[in-house]
Amino acid sequence: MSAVANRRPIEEQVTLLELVDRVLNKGIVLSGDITLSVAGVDLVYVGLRVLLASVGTFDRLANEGAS
Amino acid sequence: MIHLYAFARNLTTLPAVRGIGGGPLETLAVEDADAVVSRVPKSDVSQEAILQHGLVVEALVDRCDGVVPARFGERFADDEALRAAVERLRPSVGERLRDLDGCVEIAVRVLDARERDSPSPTDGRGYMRAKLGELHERDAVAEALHVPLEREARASIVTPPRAGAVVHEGAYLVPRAGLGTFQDRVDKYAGAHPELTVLCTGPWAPYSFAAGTEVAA
Amino acid sequence: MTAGAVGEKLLSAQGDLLGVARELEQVRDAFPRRVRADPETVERGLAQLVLTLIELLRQLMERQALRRMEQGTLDDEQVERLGQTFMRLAERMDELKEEFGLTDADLNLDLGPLGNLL
Repeated sequence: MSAVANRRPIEEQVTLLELVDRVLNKGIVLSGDITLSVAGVDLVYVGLRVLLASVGTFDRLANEGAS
Repeated sequence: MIHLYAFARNLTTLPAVRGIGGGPLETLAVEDADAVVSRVPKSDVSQEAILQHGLVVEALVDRCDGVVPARFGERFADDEALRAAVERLRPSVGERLRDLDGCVEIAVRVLDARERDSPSPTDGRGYMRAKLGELHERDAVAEALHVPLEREARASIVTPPRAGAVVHEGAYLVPRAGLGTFQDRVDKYAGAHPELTVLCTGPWAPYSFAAGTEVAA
Repeated sequence: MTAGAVGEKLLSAQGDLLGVARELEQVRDAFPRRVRADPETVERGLAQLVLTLIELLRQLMERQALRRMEQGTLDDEQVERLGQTFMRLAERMDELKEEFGLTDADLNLDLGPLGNLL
């Protein structure tokens, strides 16, 4: 953060940090070009979410098969 | 490149805020909503850009019926690329906007910054006792704070505990009409626990609930 | 809303706000590490994912053990052994994190449905 920002009172600073946390780590992620993330991390990461969805489906199918 | 800030439902007018790098905000109609974007000449991931993204999103909240914020970094070569990506979304943008309709996000963090009197445990039993104490503290906060707040929220997300002083970290999707009651409950809890650090911020655009995977209340 | 008006978003605050700021700064500072695209960073990104999963498992197991301890279904010797094991695991995690230059904030990947297990 700039020097000016560091002189803000602590209340403003934490509020700003809350906003930055949201902007960087939350919010919708489209499966488009994630040009800012390290390709290695997000490719595997996105793959994990797809994998998790598949695992859920597998469980369901396995349970349906057992009944 | 097109930088995406958020999707908005029934946006009245664009706010008088510039985009990243000073470019003007634009809208792109997608499904039955507007994608709020701006053109950025080059990859800019500075603190200024991050802050600007947040300011744009927050400025949208009062100008539309619902906002689905995009995470920082959603960039596309052109309109077509953005539209194609939107089409692949499940749940759809429309569904997400409907789920978030009329709600804002409130963030609640509780820390226990008190110095631990007992020294670090050296034996297994001591470690387990200390950990059990932490667990009980989190359970107590969950019951005294989270449960009442959950009742005022359409949905909530509690961040799993990390090492450190954080005892509770929650995001709550609250209908605007319920903000007063919600706030009262937080203040009541904070008043009853002067020994704890309590931080409550908002109303934010519903970042934490934009992914459509939150736990419904 | 302007940068100066961010302060309006504060609804209530009490206590050690500097401590909160420190926690949140960790999160903010982890971001640039995600953005650099060099071979070393890609390797760290993989370590990030793997360690996040290991940390999740460690916390799950610890939580399970604590609940059983609560219920009284573990004897003293078992509690002692479990405690020692978890202490060693935590130390090992710290070593691994240091090896890869990762902080707790880096191990905070959103695991979707897996995250709800805790």
